[in-house]
Amino acid sequence: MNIAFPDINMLVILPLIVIFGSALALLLIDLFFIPAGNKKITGYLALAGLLFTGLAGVPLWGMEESSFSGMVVVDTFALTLNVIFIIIAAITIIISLDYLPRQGIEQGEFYPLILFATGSFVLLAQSTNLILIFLGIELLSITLYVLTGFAYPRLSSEEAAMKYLLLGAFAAGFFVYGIALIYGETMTVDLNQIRLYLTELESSSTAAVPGPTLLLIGGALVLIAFSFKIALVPFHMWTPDVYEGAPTPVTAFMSVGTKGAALAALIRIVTIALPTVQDAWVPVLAVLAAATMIVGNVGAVAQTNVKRMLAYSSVGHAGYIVLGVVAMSAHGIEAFLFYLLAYSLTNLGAFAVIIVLEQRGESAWSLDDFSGLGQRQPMLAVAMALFMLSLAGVPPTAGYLGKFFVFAAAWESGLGWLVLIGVITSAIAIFFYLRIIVRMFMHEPVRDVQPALHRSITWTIAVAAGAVLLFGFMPNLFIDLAQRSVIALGG
Amino acid sequence: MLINYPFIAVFFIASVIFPFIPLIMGYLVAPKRPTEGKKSTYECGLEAIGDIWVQFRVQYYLYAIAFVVFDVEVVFLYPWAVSFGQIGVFALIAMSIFLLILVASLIYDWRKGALEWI
Repeated sequence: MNIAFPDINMLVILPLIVIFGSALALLLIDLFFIPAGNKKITGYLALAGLLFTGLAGVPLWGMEESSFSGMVVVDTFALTLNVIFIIIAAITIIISLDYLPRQGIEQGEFYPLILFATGSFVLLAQSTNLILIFLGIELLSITLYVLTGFAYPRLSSEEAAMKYLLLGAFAAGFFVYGIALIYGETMTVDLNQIRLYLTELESSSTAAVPGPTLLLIGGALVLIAFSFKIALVPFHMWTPDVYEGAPTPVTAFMSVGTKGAALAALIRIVTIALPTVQDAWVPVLAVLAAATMIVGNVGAVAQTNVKRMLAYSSVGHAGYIVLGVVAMSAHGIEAFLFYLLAYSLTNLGAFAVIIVLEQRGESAWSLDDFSGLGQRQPMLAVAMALFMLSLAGVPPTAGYLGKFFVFAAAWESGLGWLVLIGVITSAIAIFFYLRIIVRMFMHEPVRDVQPALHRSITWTIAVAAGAVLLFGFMPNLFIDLAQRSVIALGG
Repeated sequence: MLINYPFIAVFFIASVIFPFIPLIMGYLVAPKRPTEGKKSTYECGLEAIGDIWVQFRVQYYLYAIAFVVFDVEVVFLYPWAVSFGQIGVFALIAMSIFLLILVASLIYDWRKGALEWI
């Protein structure tokens, strides 16, 4: 018996090794050396772990290599996404530092769990194999189930975790069944092999040979699982409840990170494996995107709870981001990357403001808490107004350019009707984003909310606001990177 | 292949009908003389006590999870051990790292007091 090892290049999985290694080490360090009540140190160490993960990407820059029998790939697309994920995780950790003790839910496990979740994002961005993508999705889900229920013993948090777990487990079932059917048709779970199979099938196709029916059914099931993770309508039902119940930093983390990572994996699947069967899935995804934009934005209009409103708005934004995928063009992927960055910065900033206003024991997410903020905390109110304008897509913010790029890409690909829906729903969205701004600057204070402004969170909000403006004025800073990513993807 | 499906359908229908035949026969043929003892619930000779929904300690789940982790570990160890002669030092290192990660989880469990039965 002779067992042949596949070619292994450890450099390819260097970011994964670093982030999972630091998460594991941090878990034990926290357990043995960090005293209770002083868990901020764990948070700082987690930031160091993220920094090392970022540094691990430096020697890989410009590399384009796949290893482990083509299961894992490292290219500019993955590395660019890694940078975005690290920024998301770092901001999440910084805004949690003061929030957790204030809410009385400080546990050292919080920070390693964020690192594990970020590791799963990196895994999703790098894998080109359905089994590995499933592994990434599961790792992401399991850490997020725990993080969602982290505000124990607050009941809404428990409820959210339970809902997320039950529905998430169900979605995982769809994913596995989808993979099984795809394997049944193609006898492989490797994305490149699937593409080869489809091209061969196409060239030998006659009237007698049926199309890849089983693969398409499997693909549809996989798409359902992804739609659940990205919260595309009609698989978004869990989103408002879970986002409202979860601790606010976790909500912020989920609303941007999960979407980005799941979409990155979806982009790998559709660009590598399924470009030849575009006619089958592009219309489906387009309809999902349209429904998502409509339901998310219309649903948000009715909300008076700001956290719930942002949950609906994040459903709507998922629809816009998906437009970049539906376009199936180089510009589409570029637009996806830019939108993800812009939306991450904006949304994390908005949630940071909510965290500042959030008191222990009361929800403090109602619109009333924002009334008169402009008088009492003008700088905070201005930052929040900027985030709201960016979410609404008003120039000169990053959110505006993100929407512009996404719409332009969809338009080029002949999806005019989708762009029309996007523009109309954006107009609807302006109503509920502006409502907060009006509350802040044109209403008298209703309740006496004492903002908990600590230095770290103040700086985070300032930096996020600055970045939203900077990318609004100078998108080229990131667009070049995005373009190189697309070339790496072969798009 | 399609030609085989009617047979399966026949089997399916027969298997649904078959259990009902003795029941219907018994209903039609058997004499009915009910007494108190005959009508009571039959449960393996013992009297039924309490509800079937019993609460048990959540700690069982912790044990179950820890057990599953190491159960799966052994499943991975078997093929590794069988082919150890062919796969050499590299596999030894790989498996050591895998075991180290699991040991880390065990240390975590132990330190958190999950292994103590309260």
